[in-house]
Amino acid sequence: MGDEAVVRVENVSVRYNKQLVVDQVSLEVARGSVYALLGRNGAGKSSLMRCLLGLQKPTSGRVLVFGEDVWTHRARLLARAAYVPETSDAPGTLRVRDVVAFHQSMYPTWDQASVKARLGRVGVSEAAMVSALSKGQRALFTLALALGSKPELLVLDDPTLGLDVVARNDFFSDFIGELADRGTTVILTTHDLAGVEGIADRVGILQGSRLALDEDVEQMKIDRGQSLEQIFTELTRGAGGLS
Amino acid sequence: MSRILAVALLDVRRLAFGLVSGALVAGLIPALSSGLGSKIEIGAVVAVAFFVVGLAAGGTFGSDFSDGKSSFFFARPLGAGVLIAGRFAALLTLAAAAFFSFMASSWISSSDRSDWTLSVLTRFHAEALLIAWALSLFVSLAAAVRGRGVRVEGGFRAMAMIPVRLGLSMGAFLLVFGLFADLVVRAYFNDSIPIRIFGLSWVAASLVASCVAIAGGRTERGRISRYQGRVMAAHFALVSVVVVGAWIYVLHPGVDAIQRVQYPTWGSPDGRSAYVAAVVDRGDGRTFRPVYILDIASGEARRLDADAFQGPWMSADGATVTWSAATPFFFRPLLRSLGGVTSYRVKTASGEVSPLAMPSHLPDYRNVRDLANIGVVDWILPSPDGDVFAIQWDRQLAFMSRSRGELSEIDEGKDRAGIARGINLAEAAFLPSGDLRAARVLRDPAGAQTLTFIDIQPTSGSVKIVASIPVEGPVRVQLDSKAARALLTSVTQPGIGAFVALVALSGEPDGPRPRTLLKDALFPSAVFLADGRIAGASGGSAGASNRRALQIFSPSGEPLVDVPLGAGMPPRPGREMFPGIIAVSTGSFNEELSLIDVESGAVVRRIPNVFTPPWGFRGTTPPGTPAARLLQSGDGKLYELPSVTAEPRLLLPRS
Repeated sequence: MGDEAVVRVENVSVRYNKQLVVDQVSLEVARGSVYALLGRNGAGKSSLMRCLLGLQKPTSGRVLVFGEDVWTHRARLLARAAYVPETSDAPGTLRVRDVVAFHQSMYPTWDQASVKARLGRVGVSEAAMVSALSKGQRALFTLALALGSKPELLVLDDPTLGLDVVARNDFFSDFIGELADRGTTVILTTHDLAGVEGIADRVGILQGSRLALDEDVEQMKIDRGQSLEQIFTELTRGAGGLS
Repeated sequence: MSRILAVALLDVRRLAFGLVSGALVAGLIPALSSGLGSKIEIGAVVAVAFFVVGLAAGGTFGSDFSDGKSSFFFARPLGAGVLIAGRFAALLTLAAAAFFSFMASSWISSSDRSDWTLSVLTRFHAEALLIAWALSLFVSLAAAVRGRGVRVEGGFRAMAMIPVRLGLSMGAFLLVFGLFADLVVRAYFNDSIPIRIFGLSWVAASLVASCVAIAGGRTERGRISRYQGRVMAAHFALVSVVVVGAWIYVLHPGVDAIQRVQYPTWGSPDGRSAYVAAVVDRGDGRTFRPVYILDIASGEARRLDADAFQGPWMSADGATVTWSAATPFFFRPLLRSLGGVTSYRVKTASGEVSPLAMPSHLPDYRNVRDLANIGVVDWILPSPDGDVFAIQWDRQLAFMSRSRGELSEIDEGKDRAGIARGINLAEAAFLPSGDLRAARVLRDPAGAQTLTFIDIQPTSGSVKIVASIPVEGPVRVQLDSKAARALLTSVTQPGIGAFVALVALSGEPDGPRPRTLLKDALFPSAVFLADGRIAGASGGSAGASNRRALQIFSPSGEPLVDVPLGAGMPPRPGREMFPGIIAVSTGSFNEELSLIDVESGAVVRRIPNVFTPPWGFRGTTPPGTPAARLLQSGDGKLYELPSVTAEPRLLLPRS
């Protein structure tokens, strides 16, 4: 898998003042696979996600994306990747079409037609102010933006937060599955274990700031004879989160 | 480039409506104010508009980093440099939009467009825009990354360290800013460049700190905050080094730094030294003129570390010298509150230097308000024995004794209507009895003025009138070395000239009768010679102008010798350089110094392009001593004339 790895995390630690939130984590994500990073609140998932995109510098260790250090070559590497944060980061004082235009300028591979179509499907008006969108609309709008650049790597930080049950199921069954079929490498964090169980090729579970488990999903279920939810619960029981 | 424009366009879309609307409204202000009868400069309103644009653009940029929202930019293929360049391009675009909106509104609303022009922009406007942007970005970025969720490791130790760290930080800031303020007040009061450099350096540092923090911290609040803090700390360290270095270098110039010798320069009463105020190769050339004490025989000079115009003042015999030591102004209230002594110093005949106790009413840096009273003392006159000091400030005259403390105080400010001109210590002298003889002009209710000579008893402050002489207009008083006679010189009035009179203050039964030496004279002046005779000079009389003359009078005022000096500017008698030889500035424009024998009236030598240093106060210098033979040239050189026939010897500057 090593040569095929789109993302390689090498001994990454993240510390805020004296608080260690990610401790010596190493993992690899193969091209075209879906990797689900799980953990309770405060386990360090978002910090690790930000490190994966070069948004944050690890206290120690490094992250290679497409074989290069992402902190050093972030701007160039992110032309091939997209990110969906936990909450929309688009400035609320802009209109939807302004944000779309901004992204169009950023990515040579931008597919304006598909973005417009996707926004139309989810009922987001291009004339609307970003701040006027509902929580669910904002999440879908952010997803549409991420997919507009036709990324080779898609990083999603709890993307179903704010989506209703129907939208969440659609998201996992259709959306991510479609991306995986197209060969897009996907890394996501989520609390929706049932949703992710069917689509993830590999799963990592952060517990107590360390990577307690990093296994192939199917193999793991066979070996342990338990569902993902059971395994997660067993591993993280008693591990306090920061909520 | 397209990415820079994309970033810029975001800001323009967010801010343009508000800023352009504001500019359109602001454009009405000049016309509205004109209608109300007052004139507001368009340039000033544009500067304010640019400042607002800078604040808005910088604030928006910084606040984009709150709650990790900067991932909107950093999770895209966008370099930090492109992001900053884009925001800067947005700033310029918004400023241009605001400017043209403002000018259009101003043009439309103006009824008189005769002097209306688009060319109102200056460097000042660019500074207003950039300063506002840089400071607003810095503050808003700091606020964004220090928002909710930032927790500091606590504990008792951390809590205990807060006042320590705060105290150290405040102390360091006070030290550096205090030294810088001291440097400006002393050496650059007439030059705004150091203040501009100092201020703009902080603006530039804040901009660099913000850019470094954005590039290095990206979305991580803690890292952004650290980078901002580190850059500003580094700048503070750099500023500290520069300020301390500049303070030491600028305010402590050696003799080699002297470029020109300036007024005032005067000889010491013992005739061996000269006190030389000099323009040096640092400072603004006007504010900072340090005083050097020059040993004339050896040519050695050392700087007297004194406040400007606060000394040195010396006793009539020159043995006692006082001045205010040039300690940093802005720390004086603090040092005084910590038990420190006054800045005034006294050097006695033994050469010992010690603090001089000052009157309790003197605003002498006892609190911060006293900082407004820089250079408050007008004059200090030490008694010949070096024990009593007459100290004058703001119509107050106090007597301090080194052995007995504060003796008395006279408040002339209480009777402003009755005192037309108060006591001037530059025209006063201590008598052998210990009393201070001085003069002041009193005005009666009818408006008549009387020049009154008084003797003040320092211990009690009691005043005894020695002589009263009716006078009209301002009169300058010059006492002889024993304070037994006085020369009165009035101010030249058009058509009637002025007079010089001699008054004996020896207590005649009928009161003193002034003897007029020169009458209806044009710009007269007179000096006492060492043997008691008097030299008087004028530029002619009101009826016969331009006939210059020097006259020598006996000690009692009898005319002895009359020396015509031809046509030209009114002559100015200088020092008695050698016994019986007086120097007088002559030539058509006083560009020549004539040495005149007071016995025969013969001109024994003419020296071009020099003059003698000012005289008439700060004691007298015995003729024939090196200090009596000082010459100055118009280009700021100081010479000594070794003998009547010798060539002048250059003393300062050294190169």
